[in-house]
Amino acid sequence: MSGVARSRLAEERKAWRKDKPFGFHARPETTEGGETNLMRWKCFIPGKEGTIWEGGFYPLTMEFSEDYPAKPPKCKLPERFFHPNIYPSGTVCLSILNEDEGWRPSITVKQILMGIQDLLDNPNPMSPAQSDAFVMFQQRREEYKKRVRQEAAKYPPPV
Amino acid sequence: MAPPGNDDDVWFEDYDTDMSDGSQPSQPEGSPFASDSDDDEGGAGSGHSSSGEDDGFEERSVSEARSDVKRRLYTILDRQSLRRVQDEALSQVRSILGCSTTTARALLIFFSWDAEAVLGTIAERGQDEVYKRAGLLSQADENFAAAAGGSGSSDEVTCMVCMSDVAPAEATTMECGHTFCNDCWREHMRISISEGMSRRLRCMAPSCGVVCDEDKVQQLLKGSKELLAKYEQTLLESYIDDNKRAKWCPSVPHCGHAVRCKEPHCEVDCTCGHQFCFACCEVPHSPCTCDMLRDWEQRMKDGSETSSWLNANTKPCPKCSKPVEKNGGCNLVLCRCGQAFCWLCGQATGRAHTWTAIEGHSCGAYKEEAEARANEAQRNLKRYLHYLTRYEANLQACKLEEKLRKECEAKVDAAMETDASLSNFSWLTDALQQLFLARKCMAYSYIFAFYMFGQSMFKEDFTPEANAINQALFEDKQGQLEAEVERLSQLIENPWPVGSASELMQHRMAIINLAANIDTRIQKMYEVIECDIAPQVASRAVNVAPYKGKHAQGSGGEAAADIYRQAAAADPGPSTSGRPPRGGGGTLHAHEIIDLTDSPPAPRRRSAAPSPGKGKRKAGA
Repeated sequence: MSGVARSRLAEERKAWRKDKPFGFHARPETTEGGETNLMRWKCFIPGKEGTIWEGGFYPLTMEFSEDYPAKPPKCKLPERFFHPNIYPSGTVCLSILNEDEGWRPSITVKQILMGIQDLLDNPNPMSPAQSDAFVMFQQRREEYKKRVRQEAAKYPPPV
Repeated sequence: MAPPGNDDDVWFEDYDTDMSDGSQPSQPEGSPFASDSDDDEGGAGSGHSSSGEDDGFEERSVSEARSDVKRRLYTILDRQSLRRVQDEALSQVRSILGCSTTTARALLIFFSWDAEAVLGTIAERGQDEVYKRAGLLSQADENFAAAAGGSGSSDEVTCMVCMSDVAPAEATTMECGHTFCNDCWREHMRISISEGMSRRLRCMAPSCGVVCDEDKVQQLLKGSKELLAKYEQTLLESYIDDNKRAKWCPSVPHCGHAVRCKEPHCEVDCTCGHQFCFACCEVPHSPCTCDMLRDWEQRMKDGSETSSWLNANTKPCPKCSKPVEKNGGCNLVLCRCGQAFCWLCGQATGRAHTWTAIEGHSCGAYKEEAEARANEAQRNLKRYLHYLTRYEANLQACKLEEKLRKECEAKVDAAMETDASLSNFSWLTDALQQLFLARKCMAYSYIFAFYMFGQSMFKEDFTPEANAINQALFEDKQGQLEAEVERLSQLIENPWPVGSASELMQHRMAIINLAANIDTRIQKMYEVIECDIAPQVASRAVNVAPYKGKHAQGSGGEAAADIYRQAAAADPGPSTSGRPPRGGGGTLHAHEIIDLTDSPPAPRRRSAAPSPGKGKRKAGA
């Protein structure tokens, strides 16, 4: 059965090429030897237009296990990413990425990336993952917005 | 509330194990089952199981029968009976709702295996809403899904998990209408089951919360016996793990039994011999409540005795916080760390002082209060020691009387020589058992009194006057009990008049009477707690496990009597006269005990609450 993860990822890659949402990037990592590692993807998620996240392209790595797609990939933004639902390690806290909650084997890479893009501007105050952003989001909304815009500027479009 | 149905359905909740036993209610006395229950009764009284056989049947009466009802406050379940009661709950829900086993199980798990709550809530809120909340398809969805799944069966289907096209025979459609290939289903199930998520084996489609149909799971996993066994085991254990009214026996090593209780505050004797309080899993501690016991043990553990002394006699240094004892001199105290402070108020001061005052420091106004505080602490300490001594003395007596049991055997031999007709010594074992019971009860009653009348835990509930009245009332009953217990203890321990048959008979009668008196006294004490004291408490629940005496009758039986009445009320009219009251009249079973013939199930104490799959979209930590 262990072949499923790779063959599914190969299919995911094909599907992604065919139907790539605007502004997003996602491709398997290339190792030093020039080989393609299907189990680890480098992605960029654009901040949604018309939101405080606009203009930023947020780098995300997806790590797939051999149990994929029975288990969700681990999705990480840069360490200390400023967002109420991102752990200090960068790990994204989202129900569809939690195998005990919303993860389903048929959720696609595209759905995950769109889901995270949506999470950026719609934080879930019910499950804070870091205190800095959470406290500021709850108590000092204007300051939060300003800070997010500053953060967005730190993540220019990838070349 | 008993739903209409056949008799068995109606009886399910209260007396399920009766019918599942296979042997029927009226067992002739002395049958293997009757002695079974006796053995168990013997086991209940501190290692007295050997006496079980002597426990004559001749005195079985209505009161005995009622005590059976009382002991039915809980049921001991082993693997087989577990399966049976679970199947009964499932079939009850299934037959009334006309749904699949999977649906019935999901509903029952969602409602913590309370079949009546399932049916009641559905009647109240409507099926669709309840199904939705439990993460199930409503009937309408189901029809739609079936229609959708049925169409287009001739073409190859694309599995959205592995993205490959497979023949329809290689794919399976779940109740929700989502189709995936069998390999992917199997892999999904393998991972979910081995991660302990058998109970929430959901469809693989995004945001589809439907639980996989059990038949289809079994079909798909036919090849992997081990996985299937684990799946079934987890489903089976869900009856205990997800059930508020059931628990695994906390014995170590685990005996494999589970206990189902109607009333969370009751004390259970498992068939393995382990005795515990159902609510807190600690040793039986009635009449003291779980809260009280927890606090008491904490107090004993961290040697609050010492800390009380420290409270009363020392003050923490304001700089280094170490406790400082004043061993004489004026009120300017110098800690070893060099900090000076005022003994009266505990505040840091300078070192300069005169006969009457510390320079730049004045706290005379607080003097009385500070002293009062010290006195209070001292009084509390004395109070605690008072109760502690009595608590420990009674438990100690309990241990000593274990020895007494052996001595009694010698006395019995001597007595036999005097009067051979005294061959049945059940009266003596009964009395001894009553004595143990009373000692334990006394011990825990001191903890009860310590907290109940201490004006701290229940401070808001009683005025000092009411508290004094309650205390007097309780101590009166407690005192009477204690006196009787001492007399009985003495009577059994002192040399018996072995010389004359008539004196021996008298001695015997005295012991029997005293034992019976003690039983009544305990009941009276419980009555005071239940009827006089507990109703006055509003700040918290006073949940005292009912007294289940040796000759259990009357008090503490409130709950049991209620259940009995409910059962009688639920009994559909005409047949009432035709059948012996279940669990009452005819049967001599204490509680259903079915020997463990299978290997015990591994106890899984995961507290994983069933996730109702509310379709929460956003982040979850």
